[in-house]
Amino acid sequence: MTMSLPGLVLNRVLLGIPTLLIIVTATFVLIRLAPGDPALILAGDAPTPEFLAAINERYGLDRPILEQLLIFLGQAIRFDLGTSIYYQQPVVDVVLQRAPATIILTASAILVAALAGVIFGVWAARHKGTNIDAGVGLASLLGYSLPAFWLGQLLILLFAVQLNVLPAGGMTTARIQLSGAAYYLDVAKHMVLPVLTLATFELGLIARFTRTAMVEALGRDYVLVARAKGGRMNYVVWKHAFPNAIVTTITIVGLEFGVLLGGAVVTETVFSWPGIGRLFYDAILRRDFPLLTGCFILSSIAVIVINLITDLLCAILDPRTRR
Amino acid sequence: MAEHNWCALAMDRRRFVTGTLTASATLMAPSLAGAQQPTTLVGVLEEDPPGFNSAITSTISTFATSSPVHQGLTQIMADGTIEPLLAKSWEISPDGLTYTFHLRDDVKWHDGHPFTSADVKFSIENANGKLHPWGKVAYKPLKAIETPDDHTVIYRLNAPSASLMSATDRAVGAIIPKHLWEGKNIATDPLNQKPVGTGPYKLVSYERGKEVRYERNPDYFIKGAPLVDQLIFRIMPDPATRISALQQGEVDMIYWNALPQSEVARLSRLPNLQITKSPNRGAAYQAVYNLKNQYLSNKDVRKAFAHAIDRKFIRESVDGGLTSSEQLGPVSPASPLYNKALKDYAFDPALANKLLDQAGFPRGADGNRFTIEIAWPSFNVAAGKIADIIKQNLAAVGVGVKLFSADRAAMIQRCYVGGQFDIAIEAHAIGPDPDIGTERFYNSRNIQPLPYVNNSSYVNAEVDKLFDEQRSLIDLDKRKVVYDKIQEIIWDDLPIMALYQVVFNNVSRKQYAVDIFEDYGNGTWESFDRAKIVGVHTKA
Repeated sequence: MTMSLPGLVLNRVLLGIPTLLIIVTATFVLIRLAPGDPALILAGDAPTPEFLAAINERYGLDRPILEQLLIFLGQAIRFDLGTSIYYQQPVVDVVLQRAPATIILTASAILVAALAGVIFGVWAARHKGTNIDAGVGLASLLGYSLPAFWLGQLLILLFAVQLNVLPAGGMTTARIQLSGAAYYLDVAKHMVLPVLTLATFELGLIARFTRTAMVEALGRDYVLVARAKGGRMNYVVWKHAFPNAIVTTITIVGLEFGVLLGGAVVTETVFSWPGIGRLFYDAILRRDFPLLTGCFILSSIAVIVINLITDLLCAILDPRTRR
Repeated sequence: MAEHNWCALAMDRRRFVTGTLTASATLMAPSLAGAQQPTTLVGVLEEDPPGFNSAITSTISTFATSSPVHQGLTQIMADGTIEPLLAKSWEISPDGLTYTFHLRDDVKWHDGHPFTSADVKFSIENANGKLHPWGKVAYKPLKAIETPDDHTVIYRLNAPSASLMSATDRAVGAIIPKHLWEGKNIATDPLNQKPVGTGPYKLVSYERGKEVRYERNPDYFIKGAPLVDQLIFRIMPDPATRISALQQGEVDMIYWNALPQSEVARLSRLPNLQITKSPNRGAAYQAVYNLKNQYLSNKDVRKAFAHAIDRKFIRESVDGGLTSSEQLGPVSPASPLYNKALKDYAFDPALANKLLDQAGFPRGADGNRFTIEIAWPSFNVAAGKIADIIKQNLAAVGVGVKLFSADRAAMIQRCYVGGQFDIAIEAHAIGPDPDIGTERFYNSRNIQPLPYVNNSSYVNAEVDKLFDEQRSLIDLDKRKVVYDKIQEIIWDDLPIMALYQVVFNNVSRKQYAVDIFEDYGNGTWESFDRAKIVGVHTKA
């Protein structure tokens, strides 16, 4: 049965709610099963029992897990995700303060990766079996395999330390307070290396998938017909074959979004990028339960939303997928 | 405060204007030097600080971020002497039971409120003496705090205290404003993120994961200080990136905790950088033995280990030998109380074998006597190397070693709260006085399921008694006699094996950060009130 677009949206949203609930509960319980006490991390060396008691009471850590979970769920419905134990600030504030940095980084990376990946994929497909195809294949494999922390460090050593043309880390230049266009230019400069690091991984993947989809599309009858009718190669490739192949690429990009968030943890660490990837990682190390749960929930929502958008795009481009 | 010869300032401190030229531009164009451009020092933090209130915690990142803002009655200098700060002078009664501090009358909190004796009383009673892990020990002899007038504070003690004065600087005795804190839960109030102090710098902004920004306090009570207009700590979690940023000039200085000490040798060869060693009061690497373990509870086994473990090799190889000095016993060699007469256990595997045989643990058919586990926190690379070396050392005398590493949270839970460990390798902060930083590991009162206390479960009634006895000896020589004895006993009992004393190295760019990291002992940390920039504050 084919669904209407609004029906599809409703269906996915309704599916998303139990998914989110399962994620919240599983996260909440799993984190608390890990050894480690956030109050002890916050309190530092040889803490006084009074200090520990104050922290435990303040964050409800002295109550049974089930009670903590119910309190948390009750608050979460009102979009109150509690207070970060380490930062002593509302989780929503902490996450929202950091989210834009990650969104701008991952969105740029996925954009760069998608554009370049599609171009390389199509290029390789058009030259199937030649050195170009082999070259793109090898480069993709390399890009997909390089660990982000290693590539990031290499880029820093080359472009920041040796050539001194790009900053080594951070989102803005600390020493100067810029405004207007100069500020955005400064941020853009700081984005080059982390985006390149993050995009390299995805680029390889997208190029390979696009190539495969394009090779398949280019072998289809309708392409042969279009060629037989005298269509020029460029026209046939982009007008006839590409729209069919792009559905695969969009699906991959959507699926990879979650992976990209994982990659952001490493990239943000290497480049001191003040996003939620690093926040997530630190929250784990500090057993900051509320913050960790908040990060999980918000990134889960992000993944669910991106999947929804992906499904919608695919449904618009290829009605066969509306089932 | 001793009078400092502040160079006359040509600079007029104007408010910071967005889009102004950088300090680097000022340096590149000497003709601009002395104009109104704000000067900036950029430093690094290895993590987001859990707060900015060092009156309640000894967390290093909080020390670093609190020090430009919060101050104590005194400050401890690099050579261990105590100088006036918020208190301009003090008297101690001959019986050692009454301390009278005369406070400066020209000090204002950053919000304009005058600083008074009420703030001191409030802070010590509610924060430092109650919640601060070191303060709880140091202020224990305090019976009452009296404030006869706004600028006089009297500490009345139950018994004389040899270490009370060393707890009056900002590491343990940071004073917080009563008018803002009264009625609040000091352990958890959000005000911990927005410190208001009396120090040379005011906190301007803190963006998590990005940076902490301070500006010069124009009403600072030491005239002419600080020299640098703004101070920025960038939060850079990756050590390699910090160093790249320093080499590239994005940051001017990296303090010891954020500086991978294994990089010091390489950095010291670069022409634009200067390495400074912080005074030696910081931390020691130790192998903590769990005396509840059936093998380690045997003193002969511990002695055998002392002969089996090549401590000299550990000291010289772990961080390239640049960051360590020998330490025998529990007290820092930098402390005047250090017992220089202690004799090292010679590295002698043959003797170790003999001792283990005598202790009743002969080698089995496979050559193995028994197996123990060595644990360390995974972020501490040096501790991991030490564990590897000890594993090889012990294998040579027939003791098998399993290695275990976990992140800090799991390490604390498993090893210290849960008591599930045989040997733990850690670097422990020692604090400004052994009473404050060292006693917690050895006094049987401190056998608690908490991190970094007497987790060995070491009980020695004589040691407990001596610790109590020395605390009331104000005469350093008399106190040292008792402390010498404490060190002798502990070095003989070996509940914890001191491996080496960490010598902290800091690095800064030569032309930017002059005279920082050298002035104060590690216990107090750096407030940057004397930092200078060549060409601006000093003649190039």
